[in-house]
Amino acid sequence: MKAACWFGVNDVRVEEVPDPQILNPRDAIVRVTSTAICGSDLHLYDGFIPTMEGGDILGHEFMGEVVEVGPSVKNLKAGDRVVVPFPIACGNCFFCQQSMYSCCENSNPNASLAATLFGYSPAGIFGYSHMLGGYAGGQAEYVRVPFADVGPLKISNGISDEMVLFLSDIFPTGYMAAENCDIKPGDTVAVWGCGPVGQFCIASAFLLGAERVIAIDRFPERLRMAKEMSGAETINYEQVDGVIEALQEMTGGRGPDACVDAVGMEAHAHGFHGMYDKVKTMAFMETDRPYALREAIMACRKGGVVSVVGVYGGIIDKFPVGALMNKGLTIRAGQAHVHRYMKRLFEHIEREEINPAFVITHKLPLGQAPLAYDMFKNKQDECVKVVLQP
Amino acid sequence: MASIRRNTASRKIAKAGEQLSFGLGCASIGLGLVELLAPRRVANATGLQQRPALIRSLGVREIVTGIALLRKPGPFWLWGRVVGDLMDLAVLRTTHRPTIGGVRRAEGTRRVVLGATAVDLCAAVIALGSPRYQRAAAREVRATVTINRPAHELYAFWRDLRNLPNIMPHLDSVEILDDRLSRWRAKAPAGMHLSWDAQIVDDVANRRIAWASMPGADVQHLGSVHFQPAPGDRGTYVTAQFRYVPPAGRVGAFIAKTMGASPEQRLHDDLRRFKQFMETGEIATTYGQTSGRLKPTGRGKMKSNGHWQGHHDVHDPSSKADLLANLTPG
Repeated sequence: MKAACWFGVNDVRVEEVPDPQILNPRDAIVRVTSTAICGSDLHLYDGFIPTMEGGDILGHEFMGEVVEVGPSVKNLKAGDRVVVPFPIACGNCFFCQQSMYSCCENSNPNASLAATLFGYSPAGIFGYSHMLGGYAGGQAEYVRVPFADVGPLKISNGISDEMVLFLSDIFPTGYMAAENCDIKPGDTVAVWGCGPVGQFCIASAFLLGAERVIAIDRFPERLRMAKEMSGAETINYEQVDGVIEALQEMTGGRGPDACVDAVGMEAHAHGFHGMYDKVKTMAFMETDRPYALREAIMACRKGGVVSVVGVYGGIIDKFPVGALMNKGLTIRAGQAHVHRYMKRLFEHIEREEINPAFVITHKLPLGQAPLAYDMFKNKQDECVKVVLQP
Repeated sequence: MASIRRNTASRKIAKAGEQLSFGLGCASIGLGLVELLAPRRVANATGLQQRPALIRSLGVREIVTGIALLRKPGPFWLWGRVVGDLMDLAVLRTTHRPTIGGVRRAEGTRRVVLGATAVDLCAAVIALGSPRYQRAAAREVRATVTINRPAHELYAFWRDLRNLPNIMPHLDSVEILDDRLSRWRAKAPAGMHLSWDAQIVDDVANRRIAWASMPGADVQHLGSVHFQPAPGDRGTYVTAQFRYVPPAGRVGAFIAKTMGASPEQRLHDDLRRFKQFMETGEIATTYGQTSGRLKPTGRGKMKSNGHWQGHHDVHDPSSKADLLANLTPG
């Protein structure tokens, strides 16, 4: 079969590889009908995530048709149409039972690797480095899905792929980021990052009852998407004197009630401030660039919530812990517990309260994955989200 | 089966080495005292120049090494003695009396010291292999995991030692010989097999199991596992402990390779596999999965009539249900 494989920084190639097989009794094999490139895939593409090996198959946002199930899978059969969540969860451990699926204790065969870095290992993830399991990903024609009796969501045949594909990752991620903000009537939520996750966070914040959402980015097409599709107010950080000051003015001098970091470790910053983190990461004295995170903490009103959904991997510098403590902030973070939200969000889609396809700007065949990665990374052609079709 | 066993001859050598080490320690103290209290006579007798300060400091060094050797016997201080001997040889070369008598005496002393160096070397080498040193070099590792299953289920799985190779990949098999005795086999490189007998030394239902290798085993070790209900109905705390003496030679090298740089991590991984197996019925793996590093095999492809040609020769590990069904209660 064909699969998009990682071979180094800025080097993705579509290779002919063996088809996947059932390895454990609770596995299933899925024939992929649609798959997407995630913003966090760009961290792999840019070489920010350690423990990748040349030849690793990428992709954690995918859906398709079940073609084979292992002997212990009773809820699925060949022919079922499913969307597969990106974290792999067993359903039996303490964390799965608490609905913290992305913290599953049993799905990472390389748990000791991640535990060295984080203390304890999170769940295994499709196509996202050996530290997180080394599982072959879904930017391919077929994929092996472990714990298929827990993860995949069955989808009726009437609905198009593009409407449900994002239940695999970015819609639940944006939704969880918004839910973590503890939104109350009258609240103003500020969202750093208008990539696809940011877009879903903005939409979800309104779904959850926010009065105002302020979207922060520098690409006009992304700010326009946030404004036109969800009704957000916008700040282009390259056109204002300072985001914190702009937010202060827009919120009557108090600051937003909640701030979402939907940017993560490869934050871009304007001018001199950006240089500090850029230089430090290049010199390996920092592993992540926390520019958006610092700003979110400084901008948030006292007693507010900072919701971190942008991906970080290592350690940062100059963290404003004084602001955090003295303003009484709450920080909530995490890889999305996708399984927790899939059904609920699918109902929103079925009731036509949201059409997730709005973020798609490009559709390409799987064979053009290298081009797609390049275009997505450099935001060429006003690219926001690329869907690949095997 | 090429197993390496410690035989009576080597035990005798080890014992002799310990006695030698003791003697050397006492001799050191004796010599050191003489150097400290009568430096001029020592200088005379050995052909050294009259340098009381130098000889006294050599004396102090001898006494310190001697006391250390008696308090902490083992190769470290014996090698320390060898270093001291080399120092003495250097001193003799550079500080002997420049008279004919002095040179002759220094030469004589030099031969004595060379002899002492040889003895010290022997003692140091023997000590490396001695059981007393190895007991001190025993390693202990512990790991804990919380498993979302009741203690009796976990105890039952572990008490049937034949189950252990399922969660410890370095084990080939465990054969039950009688209600206490078992024979363990481990995989080893280059056709070598490692085998040892062990007996259950402690067994409290649903609480703990301890086992120890029988005397004469390749790797002397003591293992135990404890089960304790976790608070708040969250299953069971499982703590495993392992005490072993890394032997020298090929066996030791194999053990080092199997354990890796961190035996603690090895044990943690074994407990993780135990947890995965008991909670989910399988062990998470990517072994055998596809990747861009492999050549395509063309199997399992979608045929032109639209039917998936699945694989039928896939390894199907026994499910947890089957395994539990075979466990005898208690």
